[in-house]
Amino acid sequence: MRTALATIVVLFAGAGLLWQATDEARAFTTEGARRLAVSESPRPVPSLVLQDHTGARFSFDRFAGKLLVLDFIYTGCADLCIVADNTLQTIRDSLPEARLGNDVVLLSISFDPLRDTVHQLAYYAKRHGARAEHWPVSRPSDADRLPALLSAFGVTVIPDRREGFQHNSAIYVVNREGFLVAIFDYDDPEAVLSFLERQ
Amino acid sequence: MMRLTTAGLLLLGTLAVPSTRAALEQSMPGHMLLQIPLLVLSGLWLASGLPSGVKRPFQRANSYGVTGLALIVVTALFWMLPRHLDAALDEPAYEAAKFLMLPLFVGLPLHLSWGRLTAIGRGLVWSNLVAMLWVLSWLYLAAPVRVCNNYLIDEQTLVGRLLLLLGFLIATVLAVRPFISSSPASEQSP
Repeated sequence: MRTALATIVVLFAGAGLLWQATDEARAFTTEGARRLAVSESPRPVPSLVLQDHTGARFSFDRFAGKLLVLDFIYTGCADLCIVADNTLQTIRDSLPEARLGNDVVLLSISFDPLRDTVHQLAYYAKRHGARAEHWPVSRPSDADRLPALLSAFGVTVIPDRREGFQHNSAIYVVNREGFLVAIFDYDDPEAVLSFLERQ
Repeated sequence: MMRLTTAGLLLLGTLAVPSTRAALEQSMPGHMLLQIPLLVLSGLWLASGLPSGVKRPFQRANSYGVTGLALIVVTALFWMLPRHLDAALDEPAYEAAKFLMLPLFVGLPLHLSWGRLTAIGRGLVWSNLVAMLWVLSWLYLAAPVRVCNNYLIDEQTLVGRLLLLLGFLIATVLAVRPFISSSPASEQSP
């Protein structure tokens, strides 16, 4: 009898704990938890000065009133970033012309500002056909601000053994008021497009 | 018995030293396949030296080791979730919880319960362990993305392979043992 009671208590407490710990069985990985947290409580993007591939400097405020679709990259990247930027390319090509640049702006931010010089960014932008007015390829102007930026977006970057990085790649949407509101898979332009359509 | 308890304490202490922690947690195999099992082992050793007066009240509510087993399963499930491995690396509170929960909620109940489980109970534990290792292995090998943000994808693949291998080893030992052992019931208490 005691055993039955104790077992029931343990199982109920355990189930409750696991329910809580997985956001009601909706997120089992840090990545899943991050997306859920962002969609339920949008978070402000830190103010920060970026420098784009033409050398121009600007802050996030420049995008106020527009929807911002962004990803984090480094130009030496050979896999995820390329897929993520192909996704941005697809989004750009599928958006109505009236929206692109006026209502929706794309943005790539390098998390390797030391090696990604303006020259390097320009080369990368050219490869993806990114134009500064609707798709600046940029880096934080002040490398010291990078950790705060990455942590606000929940990006974990770790150097790999081949001079590159491993990072959780995704497509982020910042709303017109400057809040990060949604995170999408890096290879799913359709999901981003249908989200943008509803905004 | 007392010697084992001392060994358990020493093991726990060694694992908690910052440099040992950093060394083991630096890689996913070190974290999952060394540190976590060793934490469980330290609890197991610690518990073996407990005087029976301390164990008795627990054991009253632990017929056939069922309660202990439930506690082990729940705790193991919690620490099997990739987000908690990440959390242990990013947040000190989770790291502390890991160092308390694995010895106290897995190692200790394992010691208290194993001897009380029936042969069927033990068989259930072993077969579920193998099944769980293979499911995890499959998950890590097949996942198209990294399940832990703090570890490289190559390590995830390596862990997947090691889990597969570990499952095979345990399954082989389980399958072969009845043919060599003189009496199949002479199972060692861990």
